[in-house]
Amino acid sequence: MRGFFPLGALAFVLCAAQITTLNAAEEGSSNPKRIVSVNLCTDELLLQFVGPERVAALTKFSADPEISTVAFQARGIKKIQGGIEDVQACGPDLLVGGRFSHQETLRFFDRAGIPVLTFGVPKNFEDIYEDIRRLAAGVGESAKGEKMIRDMQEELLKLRPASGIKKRAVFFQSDNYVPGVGTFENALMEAAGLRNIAFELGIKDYGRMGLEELIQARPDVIIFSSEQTKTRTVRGEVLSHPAIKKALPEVKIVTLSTLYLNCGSPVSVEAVRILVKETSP
Amino acid sequence: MKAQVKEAPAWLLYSVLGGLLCAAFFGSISVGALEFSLFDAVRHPSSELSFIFWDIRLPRAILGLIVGATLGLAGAAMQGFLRNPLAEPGILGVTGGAALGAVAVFYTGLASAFPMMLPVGGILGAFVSVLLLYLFAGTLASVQTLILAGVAINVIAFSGTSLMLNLVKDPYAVLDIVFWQMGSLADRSFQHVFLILPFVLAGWCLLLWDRRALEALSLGEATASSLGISLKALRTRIILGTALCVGSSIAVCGSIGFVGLIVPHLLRPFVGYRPGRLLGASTLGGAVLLLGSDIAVRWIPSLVELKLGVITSLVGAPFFLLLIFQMRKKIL
Repeated sequence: MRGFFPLGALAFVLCAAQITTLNAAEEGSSNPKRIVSVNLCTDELLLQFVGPERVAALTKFSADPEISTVAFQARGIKKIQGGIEDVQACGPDLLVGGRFSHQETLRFFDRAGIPVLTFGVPKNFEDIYEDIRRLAAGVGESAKGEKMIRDMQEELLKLRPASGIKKRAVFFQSDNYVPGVGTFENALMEAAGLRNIAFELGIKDYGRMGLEELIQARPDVIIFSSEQTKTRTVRGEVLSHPAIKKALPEVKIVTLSTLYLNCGSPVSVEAVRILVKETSP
Repeated sequence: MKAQVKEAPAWLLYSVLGGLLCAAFFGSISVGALEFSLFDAVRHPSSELSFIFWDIRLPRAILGLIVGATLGLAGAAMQGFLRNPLAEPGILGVTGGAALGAVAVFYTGLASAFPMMLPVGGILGAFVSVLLLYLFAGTLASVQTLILAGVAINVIAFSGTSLMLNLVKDPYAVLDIVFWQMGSLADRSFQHVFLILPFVLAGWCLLLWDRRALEALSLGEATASSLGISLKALRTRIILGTALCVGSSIAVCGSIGFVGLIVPHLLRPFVGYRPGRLLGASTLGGAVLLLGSDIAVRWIPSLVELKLGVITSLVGAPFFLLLIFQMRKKIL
């Protein structure tokens, strides 16, 4: 697959030019010092392991406290859009990014021989631990990574409610989509000791649930990812529908900021903490 | 060759349309995710089923009736005023403008702070679109000029909406807007009905007022003027009326197109090709068509409920092509 003509040629030239630097980087390959991240999730995770002096650039999103959990730590670090030229200007010795954004950039630097780490979307906590291990190993901080995983596991164990009758919950998202088996939201709900109604209904991945079905399912808890203060939409309108108030007067509506849902990281434990706090009697 | 004008008697036309409307309305309140007898729902107040009936099904059907009637009436009025069978709020960009106005209102957070701003935003967007349309094309534009003006306005509205989508930082919010734009009556409540009702009724009055003026206009501008019709006043009423009812309707249910194209076209032979009589008939016909489409949306088995705007476009776009095909000789 070489559908990449001009860039491919350029990559080849750069490859040749990089051979010397590559060798230099080889010695300290486990200890990169000019790390560039082109995805908000890797921005957040990266700053958990390395100090700002080792980060060459982060995404522009990282500085926005509405969507980034590391806006404070990211101060003073260069912010870029994530295009090939942007990244090249930073002279990276390690590039980290997600599976869905800036793929061209990641592929380009991979061909140019720069180490590239790509992270997918986690579907459960095991996936998050795996991501943490890979990133920690990539930046030469495996010990920190293992400690972080242990801390998360301990926290989750503490949060797990004593066994008893599980509350039945549904996670309402854009346009009545509900996450079912095999989604990260389902993992969060399980960790918080809630039973996902979409799971009862046999919904795999994401399914849709109309208002009538929601009322018939009689949930104890409706979780809803809140919108940010600056970009509002019609989301959540459905939860103020009079039929919900009348037919489900006892239902507990929990809003969870999308800040806690965008990425898998230690912040995900915070999401579980909020769910437990809001739903426990 | 003289065209045969077979005008159906008014009582027959209105009773058939009224009967269809009753059937469509009843169908709309009967169809949904749950199956239950409406009789039970009404007999047991404050049961789960009665809430579903009174607070979900009924407002949805009423909103469908109002919005469908609006789109049918606005289509007939625009076709009569522009004397052009291809005129329609969707094709000429009025729907697009209204959707842009509504998206702008909830994007800025005004809609959550003041719900009344939602229809107002839609109306303003629709108003600017109709005004632009009139400035570009005027009353006696050729079919080509009018359609091109519509394309231009649609493109402007689309780029405005795209700009807002582009600037949204939260990927979830992008999804919300995209879904909203596909047009739907699902899960609306009486709050939405009451929110738009005053604007819609005002718009209907302004448009239905023009029955005689449109009849006279069909004889030509000079004749209409000589019959004492003020073209300026007619123009103002059409622009304001369309903006009020289409703008507020689109603001609560997203983009729904082509109803205003199909309905007047189907009904025109039955009213003897008279633009004035077409107004009332298209109002009823539009409501029947939209309620029918909203039943289809819930009936067609699919993994995900289809969007109303998607269905009307799927039916309407081929219809539009067919009309162009038929008119081709006249246009070229």
